Amino acid sequence: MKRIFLILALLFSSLVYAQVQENTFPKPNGNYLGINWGLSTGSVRDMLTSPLFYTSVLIYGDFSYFYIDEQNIFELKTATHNGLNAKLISDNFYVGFQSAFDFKLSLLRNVQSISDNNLKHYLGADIDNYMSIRIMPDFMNAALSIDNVSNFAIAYKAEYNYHKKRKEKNFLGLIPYTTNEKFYVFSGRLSVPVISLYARPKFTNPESATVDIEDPLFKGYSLKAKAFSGLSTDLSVSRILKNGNIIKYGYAWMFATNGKNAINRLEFSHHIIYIGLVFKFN
Amino acid sequence: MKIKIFSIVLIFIIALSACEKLAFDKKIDGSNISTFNYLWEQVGQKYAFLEYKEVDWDSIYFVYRPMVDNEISEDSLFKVMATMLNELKDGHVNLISPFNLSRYDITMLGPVNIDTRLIKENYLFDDYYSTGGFVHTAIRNGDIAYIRYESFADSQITDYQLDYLMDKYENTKGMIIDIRQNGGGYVTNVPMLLSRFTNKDTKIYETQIKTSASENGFSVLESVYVNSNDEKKYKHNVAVLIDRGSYSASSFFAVSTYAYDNIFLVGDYTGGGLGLPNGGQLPNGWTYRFSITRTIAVDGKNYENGVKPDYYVILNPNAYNNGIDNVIEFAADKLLENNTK
Repeated sequence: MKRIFLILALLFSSLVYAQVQENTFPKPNGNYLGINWGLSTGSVRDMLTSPLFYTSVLIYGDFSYFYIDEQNIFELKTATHNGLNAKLISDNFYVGFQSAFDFKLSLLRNVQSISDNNLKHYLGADIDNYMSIRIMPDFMNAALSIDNVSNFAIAYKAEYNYHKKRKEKNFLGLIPYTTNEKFYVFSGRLSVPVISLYARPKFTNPESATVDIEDPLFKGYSLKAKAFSGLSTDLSVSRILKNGNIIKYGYAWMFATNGKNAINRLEFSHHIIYIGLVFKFN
Repeated sequence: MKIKIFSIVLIFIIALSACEKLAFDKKIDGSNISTFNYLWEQVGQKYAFLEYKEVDWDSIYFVYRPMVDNEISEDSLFKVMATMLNELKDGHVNLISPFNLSRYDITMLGPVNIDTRLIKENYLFDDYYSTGGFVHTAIRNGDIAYIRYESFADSQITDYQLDYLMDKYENTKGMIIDIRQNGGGYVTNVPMLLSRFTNKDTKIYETQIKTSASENGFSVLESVYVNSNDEKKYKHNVAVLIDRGSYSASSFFAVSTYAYDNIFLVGDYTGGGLGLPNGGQLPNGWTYRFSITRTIAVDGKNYENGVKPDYYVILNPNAYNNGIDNVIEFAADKLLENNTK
């Protein structure tokens, strides 16, 4: 009898809890771990070896940690893109391989003067390191390209909270049913690299006839700073579940170039469609 | 109002996504003229031996450019561009299309200074050993080790293979390494093999990369060393047999022997190929390669046109008709002569 009473009490208390939550938008707060998967497509042109734009078709994945409070969003993210770069010319197919690794540290702060409970504006900064490894067997000794781009970027983010309330409805006017209450966050993020550091070969390097490959490979590298050399955006819709976890759907885009006047110009972009899960862990 | 503001923000961000094409530089069209010009420019900027070979690349443009217009066939374009590239007289230069591969046959610059059939019948016989890429036996009553190394490209030389050779020929009075008609391969095999003939760190050559179109547009010279190790060494003199077909890694091997007092070269000049080739692509999708590094020997000279033998010996038809490879015989005599001194 005691057990039955206890179960009923727990059940009742959870219903009470749900009712309390019904009209309050859950505020993300605390520590979160996120994981996203997706498909990435884009373009890449490395003038060191080819004047052609290759189309990238890559598998995307990232893993991130967030800390969110009333004022700040702190994010630590590692992402990877892996797949093919391909070019079709007159029935001839040229294929290479690409792996890219992105590491990002981001801090955004709520701009309270223009924010309210439903529409929030954030401003902050990103520190980002992007490394791309491309292999193009057709280029023989110059088949391997490794580039690294480090960015310091200013970032802006807007979030709009949308509360889809519970509604009583009738199917064909005959069958009554109730829609569930849902909480969505629509989000747009823009990041503009103020200064970027491109680590890139000064010239094509076929291993230089030395014995140690690593030695000449990286000795031929130069560092070049470039202002406002790219852009990245992220548009997403997140559904906040009652347990605080989040399901996220998004589209992200980024591009970078070391400049039209660079001798060994590098231009690339990624368009990513992804789905993700974010878990609240305390 | 809030939704309006948020919509404007979203539209702005989406609109930015479309501006990637504006930020990127324009595409280079794949027309015949564009492709020709691109190749000509790449060679002018990056090919390492224009000055050394005294090639006036600007005048080459005026010879070949009038042969190209946007109406000529792919085949014709290929022929014009391949002929232009062959002005460089470099075996590391190729133009690669889906239907053809151009090449400059360096072996045609000199006689083939070897007959493999003769060696098989009169030197190796049937009981020779095959250890990795090395085919070997002892000649001259077991006094001379004869090692034929046909390609640096077959595989990476291993310590086990070299240990075996050092053990087997430890008691010989000299060693012949025959790299005639060896077209090259892994440059990393060069110091590996040479490390068995010295007990000290030895600088074998310097190398640098072409970095710009100017005559002196090269990277800093990088010294390449054979590092000493505790592996078993060969203690007697070594003769390396070369000819015009000894190319690329074989030329690296030959030029490296200049750093050794106990190794000498016998035969014809090598084919050169002391620049490492760079691969790249043209606007029409074809690919190419040409040398963008140069190598400076320990005597400070560039031997791109061929590494000079210490003893110039050409295969003698009379000896050949009698089943004798006079290049091997000369080397063996020299080794035994040095040994008795």
